[in-house]
Amino acid sequence: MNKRMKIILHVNIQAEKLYEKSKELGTLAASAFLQSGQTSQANRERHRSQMKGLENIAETTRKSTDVLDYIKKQIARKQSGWVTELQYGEKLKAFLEDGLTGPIDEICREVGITGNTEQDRRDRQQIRLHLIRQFVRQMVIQYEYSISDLGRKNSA
Amino acid sequence: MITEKLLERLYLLSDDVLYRDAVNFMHSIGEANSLSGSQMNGLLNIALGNPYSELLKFLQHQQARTTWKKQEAHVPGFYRKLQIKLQRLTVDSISSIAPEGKLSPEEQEELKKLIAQEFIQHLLAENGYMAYQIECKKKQEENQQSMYQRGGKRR
Repeated sequence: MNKRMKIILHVNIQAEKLYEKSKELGTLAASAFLQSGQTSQANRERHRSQMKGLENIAETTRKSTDVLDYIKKQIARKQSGWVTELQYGEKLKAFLEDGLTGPIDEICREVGITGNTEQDRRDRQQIRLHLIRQFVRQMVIQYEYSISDLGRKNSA
Repeated sequence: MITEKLLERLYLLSDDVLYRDAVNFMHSIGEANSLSGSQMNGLLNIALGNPYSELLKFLQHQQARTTWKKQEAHVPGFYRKLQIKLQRLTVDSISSIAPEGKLSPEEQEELKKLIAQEFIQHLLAENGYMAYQIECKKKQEENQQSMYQRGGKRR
């Protein structure tokens, strides 16, 4: 198996392990949005498009820091759901900044990326990006599911 | 023309070095001596839409301007520090992105522009985030203060 295939395989394994965390943050995003109180249809659509915007950035960017910049900007603009007492924005930023180091190290060990050459650093960058993409994808799906579920419960 | 290989190196540098550098730069400046959100957006627009030499001219112009309001007295200082930072950063970054040193003057200019854009985009995000954090801290302190005062009155 070539290195690229090995990376994809091990990213998938680690993404499975991060499933619970992505569920937690996806549910938190939905709860935070409902807690913000700005739950009109228009606000709901706006919040949903911010979440899809995050997913879109993660899918298309070539730099993981673009995702972090996007989150910081949502926090700075005090967008509904990102800055409630539940601190969804802060928690997501902290996790993407620090929480992926362990899984990335593990993937690098499995694939044999051990040095600090330019190619090694580029591989690490790619691994981080792949992991962020998988994580954000999982989190946004959970968010969509939770927002409809919590919305139903709140209106019942 | 900037090759794909150079762009890849630039993106790697942006993730590995420029992001952290921008965060540290903003923290060394401090929120009180930083730019407003709209000034920062204006700066990014200049960086995105102009050659690097024009960006430097803009930074110099902002430092020389004498029409700043009293509450903006710190702004020329911010631009001065940013200019010094960018001049160092672009030189260091180019030697890391193109260590072979075979760039034409036009390529060097283009690369400097891209490095400055990356750095300023990270600055803009950190600037807003830092302002939000400080606002939260102030609110927290005010809440604690009013709780303390209410507690004092009760006694």
